[in-house]
Amino acid sequence: MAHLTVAVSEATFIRSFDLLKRNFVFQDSDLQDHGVFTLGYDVKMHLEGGTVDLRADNTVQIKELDIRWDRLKVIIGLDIPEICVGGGCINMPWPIPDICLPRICIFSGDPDVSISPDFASFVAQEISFTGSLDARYFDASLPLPSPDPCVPLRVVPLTTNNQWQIFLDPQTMDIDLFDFPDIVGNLIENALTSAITALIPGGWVRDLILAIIGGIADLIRAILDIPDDIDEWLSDVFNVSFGLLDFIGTLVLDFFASCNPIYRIDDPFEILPAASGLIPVRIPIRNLSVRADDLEMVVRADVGA
Amino acid sequence: MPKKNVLLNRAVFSVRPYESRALTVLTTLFHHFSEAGNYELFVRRGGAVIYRAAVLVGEAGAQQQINLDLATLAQERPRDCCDHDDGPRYVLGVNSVMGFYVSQGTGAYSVEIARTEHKERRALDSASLIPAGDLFAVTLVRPGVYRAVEEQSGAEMQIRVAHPDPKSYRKGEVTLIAFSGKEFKPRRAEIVSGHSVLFRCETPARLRVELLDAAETGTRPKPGTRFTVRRTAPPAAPESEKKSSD
Repeated sequence: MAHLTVAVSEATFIRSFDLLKRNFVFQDSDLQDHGVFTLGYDVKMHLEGGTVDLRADNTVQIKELDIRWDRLKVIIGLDIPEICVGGGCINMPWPIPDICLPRICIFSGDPDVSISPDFASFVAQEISFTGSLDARYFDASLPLPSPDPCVPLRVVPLTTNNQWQIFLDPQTMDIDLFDFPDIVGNLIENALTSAITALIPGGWVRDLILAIIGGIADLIRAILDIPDDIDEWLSDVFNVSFGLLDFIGTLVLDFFASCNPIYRIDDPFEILPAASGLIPVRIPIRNLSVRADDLEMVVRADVGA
Repeated sequence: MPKKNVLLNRAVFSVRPYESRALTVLTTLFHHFSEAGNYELFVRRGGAVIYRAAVLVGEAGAQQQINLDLATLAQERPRDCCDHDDGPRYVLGVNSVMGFYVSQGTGAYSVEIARTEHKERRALDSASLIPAGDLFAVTLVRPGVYRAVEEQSGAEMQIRVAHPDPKSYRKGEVTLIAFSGKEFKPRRAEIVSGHSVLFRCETPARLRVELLDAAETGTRPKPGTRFTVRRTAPPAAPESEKKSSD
């Protein structure tokens, strides 16, 4: 029978989890060069809401944890192809060879347009996972791994004491896929169209350029190689090409499972502080274990020699 | 994506006559080399020679066409006449053509080609006449009606340039027109903005293409668009008048 038993109610556990969750922040940016276009993102997110349920099978279920995007900027740059007049070849009667006319280009270089709209308010995602509670011993005398994967994720400060640490260890995680609504496709198309239109003078010059490039909407689709809707294409890009879902999933797993314990117990544990010139009274904690049931989290431990 | 400075090639859209004697943006002169030999090429701008090169015609398997952009030619150092190993040189086959065009800028150029051995035997002097067998091309971008004139004979023809339709636009279309010495054949041509007409001269000629009537320019206001016309304010009375009226 354990020397010490501490029970934490579900309500207290929820408050502890909430404190940890509110400190989770993820931000990242990347830019990929695809030749005729560049594609990138600049994002920042945090976690909100969700329900926590301690379960009889010694697991904790977290459901519908909201991913709130503070910033979800999509960076799209297009390298507009050369827009030229003239050119073409014509067959000539002998002895003159077939003649090809030079092309005269309308811009001095290939023009670029770039947009970076923020779609934070258009995207809603949720995370759900079930994890077990895991007690681990932290030996402060041992060096941290190098490189330390927890550096960008650690919100609970590193201790100089030996500690028992209790982690919520998710085994699997479900994250909603990015699903940009139709309006995002329209906004992107409108923004790119405006950016391209700004390059082109008005009147008959615009008519000519639009004829050469075959219309701005078609040009955008041709450059980005989009067969369907822009919003579907963008969702695929975020879900697959950028690998953001994997990245966020791994971060959330590491955040809870490896980098930030939900509870910490010093070893030795101080039961009486220093007072009246006497040293503090500390007891060594051994064989700490943790379990959850429907109502509470229970920690048991022995007092060592 | 790094930002680039992009400039509109305004010369493409400036409306002016296109002349074979003064090559500008959108015009191209093709010289047909019908005889093998060594030639000397002179490019002039504002009367001054800005570029010289050797042209060797006759080598088997050589190129059948070279196009030179007169706006970007740069002579690194003066060329000694008439050493063919010195300076730039172009090698072409017999019955090949050399095209001269201007890609940008407002400059007007002329081209002279002479036999190296007999400088007085000019094969081409574009500032005066295009020799028989040469070709002159103009790419027309502004929609409207143009007139092509051969200045010696006074022969004329009409070219109608239509607005481009984005749905059916095809790039690089060229319409061939022959000038026989007395008349153009055909005497009317219809092309689309951005396409070219190519004049084939059967006798020496000096060609000029000019806009007669510009078509209505494209973008019309959408129905229902409101325009606001404001009355111009009457000119303010001079200070002295104000004081006197007080």
